[in-house]
Parts: sequence; C-alpha cells; structure tokens
Amino acid sequence: MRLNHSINQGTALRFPLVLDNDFHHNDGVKLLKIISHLFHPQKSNNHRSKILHPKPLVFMTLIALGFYQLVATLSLLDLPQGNILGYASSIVVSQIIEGTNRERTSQGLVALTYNSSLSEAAAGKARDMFTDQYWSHTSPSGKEPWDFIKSVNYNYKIAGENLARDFDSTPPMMAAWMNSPTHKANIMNPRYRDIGLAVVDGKLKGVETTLVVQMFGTLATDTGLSTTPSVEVVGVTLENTLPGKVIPQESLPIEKVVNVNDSEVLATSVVPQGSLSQGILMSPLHLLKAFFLSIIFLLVVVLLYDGFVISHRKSVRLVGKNLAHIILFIFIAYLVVFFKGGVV
Amino acid sequence: MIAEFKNHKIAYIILLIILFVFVLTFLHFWPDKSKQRIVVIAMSLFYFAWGVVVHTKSKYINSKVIFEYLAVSLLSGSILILLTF
Repeated sequence: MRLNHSINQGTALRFPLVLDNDFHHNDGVKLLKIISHLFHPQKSNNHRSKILHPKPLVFMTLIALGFYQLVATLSLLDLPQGNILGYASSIVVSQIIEGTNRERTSQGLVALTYNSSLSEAAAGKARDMFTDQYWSHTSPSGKEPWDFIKSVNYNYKIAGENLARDFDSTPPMMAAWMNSPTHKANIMNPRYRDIGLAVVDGKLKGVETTLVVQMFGTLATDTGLSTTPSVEVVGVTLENTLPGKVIPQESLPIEKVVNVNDSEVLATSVVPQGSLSQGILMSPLHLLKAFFLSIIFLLVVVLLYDGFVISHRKSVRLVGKNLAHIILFIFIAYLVVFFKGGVV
Repeated sequence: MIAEFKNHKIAYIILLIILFVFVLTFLHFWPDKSKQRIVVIAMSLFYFAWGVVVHTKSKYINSKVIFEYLAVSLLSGSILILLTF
C-alpha cells in the first residue's frame, strides 16, 4: 500500500526511502518476533520457549558436533602463520614405540626394547619442563637431558633425546621426526638398544599441551657396541629447514654429541611448523569447552526464564521438568570445566 | 522451582545423588577415555529413564515430553563425549 502511494504521488526520490524504512521496520519487528518466539513462552511456541523444544535441542546437538568437527579441522590446518590451535590428546606410548621400531626394522636395524628407567627419566624431563615452564633440552637451571637419565641410575654408553609437543596424534608426530634429519638420525641410530617414553599433559606458557619425551640409550654393560665416541655438532631442526621460518637463536633446539665420562648424548627436538615462532592461539580443548559452556549457559538461563514466566502466570502445561534439566546441565558444566584432556 | 522440588523431593534427591556418583566416576576414570564415555552414556540413559519414570508416575506424560528428555540427554551426552575424543 505504502509503495503504491509513493508511486502515485510521483515522488521519485521518496520512493526508495519509503521502501527502505518499510524494510527496516519489518526486519526489526520480524527479528523481535523470532527472539520472542525462541525465548519467551507464548502461544506461538505452545507456551514453552522454542529453544527448549526437542527439535531445537537436537539441532543444538548437531551444532555441537559441527563445531567439534571445525575445531578438529582447524587443529590439523598448517597455515603459513603457524597453527591456530594446538595440543595433543591421542598420542599413545605404545604407538610411538611401534612406529619407531617399524622404521628401524624396515632398514634392517634391531628393534628397541622398552626400558622403564628411561621412561622414568623421560617423565622426569617432561615434568621439569612443565614445572620450570621451558621448552628446551637444557633447563633454565642448567639441567641437561643426561642428568635425568643419570638420576634413574641408567648407566649409559650412549644416550639421546627427542622432544615433541602440540601434535594431535602419533602418526604426524612420527612423520615430523622422520622428516627431520637429526631426529631421524636418533631414531635410526644403530647403536641404541633401549627406548623410554613419556607423554605428559600440562600447561606450558598458558597453553594446555602434551609433551612427548623420547629417550634412547644403551647400557654401559652392553658389550655389543664400540666404546669409541664419535664427535659431531649439528644445529638443525625441523623449523629451520622449512622456508620462510625465522626462529630466535636462543629458541633453536640443538643436536649435539657431548662427551660425558666416555658417554655421548644426542639431543634433538622437533615441534610443528610455526609453534615456536608464532605460538598457539588457543588449545582446541579450551575452545570446545568455551563453546559447550556457552550452550549450557544459554540453556540454563532460558530454562530459568521459562520457569519464572510460567510460575508467574500460574498456568499448567505438559513439558519436561525445568529444574531437573537445570540440575543436569549444572553437573555437565562442572564436568566440562574440570575435564582433563590427553592420554598418558 | 522450590515448590517443584518439594513436590518431587524423593525423585530430585535420587537424581542429585546418582548424578553426583556419575560425576565422581567420570573423574575417577581419567585418563581412560573409553571408560569415561561409557559413564557418559550411562548417565544420559539414566537421565532419560528418570524423566520418563517421574512423568509416568505423575501421569503428566506425552510423546513430546519423552522426546524432550531424549533430546536433553542426547545433547548433554554429546557434549561430554565430544570432549573425550
């Protein structure tokens, strides 16, 4: 009607203005109606906030699933600026040993034997990194990898260490190690006999992460090896072999062969591309927790509001119990907040 | 809400106690995520059953109520299960 009126008046300039205002007015009213329909109990939603109906609740479940999938995809994305999300929760010790031995046996090398002392040393190293908040082979207090190995009374002839963090699963972590010549050299070193591993979750510089410490060694009592140590010093990491990555010198993990009481230690580390130079913006677990808590918060608020409105109207309706839903969601929220990720 | 609690005191106390036990069990099983998932599924099934039983007893039940409990159980269970992956 208004449109016709404007045209009849012949006000060419006014016509689009009237049309525009009409649209804005209608849009605003429509939006308010939708919000009211979603959250306010009224006739249009059978006197129950629409968001609390079964179909919207199932839709919210699908949104949660979709968000989970999105986060999983983002975690795997290897952007030039570095990973957006980073942590690991599905790294399994047995898979690392299996992967390491598969690589070795494929080249005709002997499979490594799991050594609990080396694993204890690796766990000690991981704990120390979390406690002192560092990511390096040498702690701020000057502790070296072999200090941890010595502390568990593993009297070694040769020993080595590989580090990894922020991988979401074992295969890409193994692939990264094998793509780095220095780490590959550790894995494929024919002089090692034993392997120890620690996969430890914690907070490193504010980001929840999983640290993987892989320690190699051969006991001094092992007679199968030559005792003459070779000497080499190399400074190569996965990062500085990739184009366009600049890492501060002090952050560069080093590989070195150190003679300590006629023993040698190879120490190398690997992190996903961009981890050291850019830092991780957010842990996927934190992101999921935040999103899920938002859903729960919204539902609890709507349940409270819906219950409040209906109790004031003193009307009777046949729906689920708001109080029970609220109790359940509070318990779920508690579990979401205190949920600990990772596999040890 | 308080009146609702008073009207179904026993049902709500059972709900609170069992949910509390589920929460403790869930936390206890960490880091075994497969066991945690089983606890979550059991908790969701329990909540669904609790809702149906309470409504059946009070004779305030129809298919929409059943679907509502099913949807709430599904959503809460999915949230926790997704975290364990």
